Amino acid sequence: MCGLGILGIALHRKRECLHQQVFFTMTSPQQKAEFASPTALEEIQSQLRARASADVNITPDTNITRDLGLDSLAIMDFIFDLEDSFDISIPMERIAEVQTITDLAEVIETLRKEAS
Amino acid sequence: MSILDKFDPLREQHKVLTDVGRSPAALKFDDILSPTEAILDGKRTILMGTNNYLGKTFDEASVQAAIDALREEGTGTTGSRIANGSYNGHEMLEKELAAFYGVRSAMLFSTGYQANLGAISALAGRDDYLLIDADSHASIYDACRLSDAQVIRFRHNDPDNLDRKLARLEGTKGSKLIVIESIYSMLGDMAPIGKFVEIKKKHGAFLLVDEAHSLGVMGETGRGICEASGVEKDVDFITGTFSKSIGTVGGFLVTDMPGLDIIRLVSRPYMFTASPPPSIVASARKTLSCIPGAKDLRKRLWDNAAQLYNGLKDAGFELGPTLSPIVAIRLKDAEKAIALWNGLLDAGVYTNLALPPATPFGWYLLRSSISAAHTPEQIAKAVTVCKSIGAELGLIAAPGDADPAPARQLNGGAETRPCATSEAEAAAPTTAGAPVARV
Ligand SMILES: Cc1ncc(COP(=O)(O)O)c(C=O)c1O
Repeated sequence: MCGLGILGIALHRKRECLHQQVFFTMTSPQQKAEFASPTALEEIQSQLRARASADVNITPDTNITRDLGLDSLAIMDFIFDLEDSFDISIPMERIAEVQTITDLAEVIETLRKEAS
Repeated sequence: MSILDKFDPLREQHKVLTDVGRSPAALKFDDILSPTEAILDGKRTILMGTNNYLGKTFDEASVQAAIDALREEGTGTTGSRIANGSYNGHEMLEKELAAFYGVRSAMLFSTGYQANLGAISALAGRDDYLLIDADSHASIYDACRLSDAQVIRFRHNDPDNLDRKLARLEGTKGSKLIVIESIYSMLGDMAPIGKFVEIKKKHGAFLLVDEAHSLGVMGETGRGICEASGVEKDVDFITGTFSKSIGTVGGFLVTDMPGLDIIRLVSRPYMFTASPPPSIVASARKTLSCIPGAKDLRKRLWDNAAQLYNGLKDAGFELGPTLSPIVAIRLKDAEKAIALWNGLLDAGVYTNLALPPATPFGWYLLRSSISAAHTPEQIAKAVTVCKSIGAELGLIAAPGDADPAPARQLNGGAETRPCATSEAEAAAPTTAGAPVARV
């Protein structure tokens, strides 16, 4: 998927791939299985792209509440959609810890692991 | 650097409001004339935003009962019931509340806020789960912070979303407590309580309903939405407040479940604050005793609500989805919402201006709560004034016009998303109303 699309998107896609690589190399082999596609990171970014305005850069380091121009209600709506996409419920205290897209992806991956 | 510096952004936001008119958070009434009239800025003003549903604040018998209690028992209890003991009135009011609801037990709190805080945080502990509606009142959200339970939100008034969330908890130990309201305070929309009861039974969960805005307002004898929907035996806990239809202050928790008294020893908002003063308890008791028989008042309340709701709807305003004593005009444009609210005050009509994020979907709401004590003339005046200012602002068509003037989009304005009434609608892509980036 890296390199697809217009230049801007290709750019953050690239960073995303890079990021995932780091992510993968840091995890042990049996943990790796949990990150099977679609990864939480990919799903979050694709859902956010549909919500945020076109000129907003979306990268794994994007701060969800600060950088996207989405208000708290839009973010809550987005979280509800993610919950159904992944068939998990994200407790409020877990959401409170989240700042970046990577943080959110990690919470989702952990919850998926706990659920299975 | 001051410890208050961190509020600078909020101060700036608030200044936008005060630069063009009054502050909704700092109105001062010079004199209160009746449940529906006050003097504001030296002018006689119709009160259309006081939650005084039955107009009981000046009820002669309740005022007299408070005066008598004040003389006999003094101005305050000066402590909590756990530390300083109960007064006769506290226990009588609890007995009367239990009898009113036809249940075993009732517990009194000093406010409705504390009732939710104290009931929810104590009932749901470590290993338990709290499932709350996303549009819950601040007291419910704060209760969640005080509780050791895991908190899961479900989409507003969406039993299917709750169903999926409870299904995901299948097999976990710990109790599941669902918390919903009755009439929601911002838009006046109502919980589909029959469906929630089905889901609760399906999953063996417990259900708590906050009847804050429906006590005295709904049901044959005024017990609220649970009575009106015929589901009382399947609702485990009810919380409520005396600050609306009862016209004073205080809150409560009632249940038919045996053993409620133990909560008195664990609920911090019950234990560590002073109990309600005798005069408050006396007027609450007096007004509560009138609720079952107040059928004429309830009829007048709903007739009044219909007059306001239909009057505004026919004029072309966008309102909440259902007729109820809470009638809210939904606006997307901050500047016009503020102008309408100020214009109404200038014309002698007081309503509430509710701003995001306290409102659903980032709407600006001009919220009014109707009272049985309003006269048809007062309501007609409110509708007329809303119409003329609304037309001036281009919110509705001026008489004779075919279309309202095109609404102007403000920078930093609210999202322009339609009212999502179902899961499918709410989940639909919102590209048409792509949120405006805030600056
Ligand atoms: C739904 C709901 N619950 C609880 C409360 C709190 O009631 P009180 O004013 O008695 O603290 C309110 C009122 O603000 C409310 O709207």
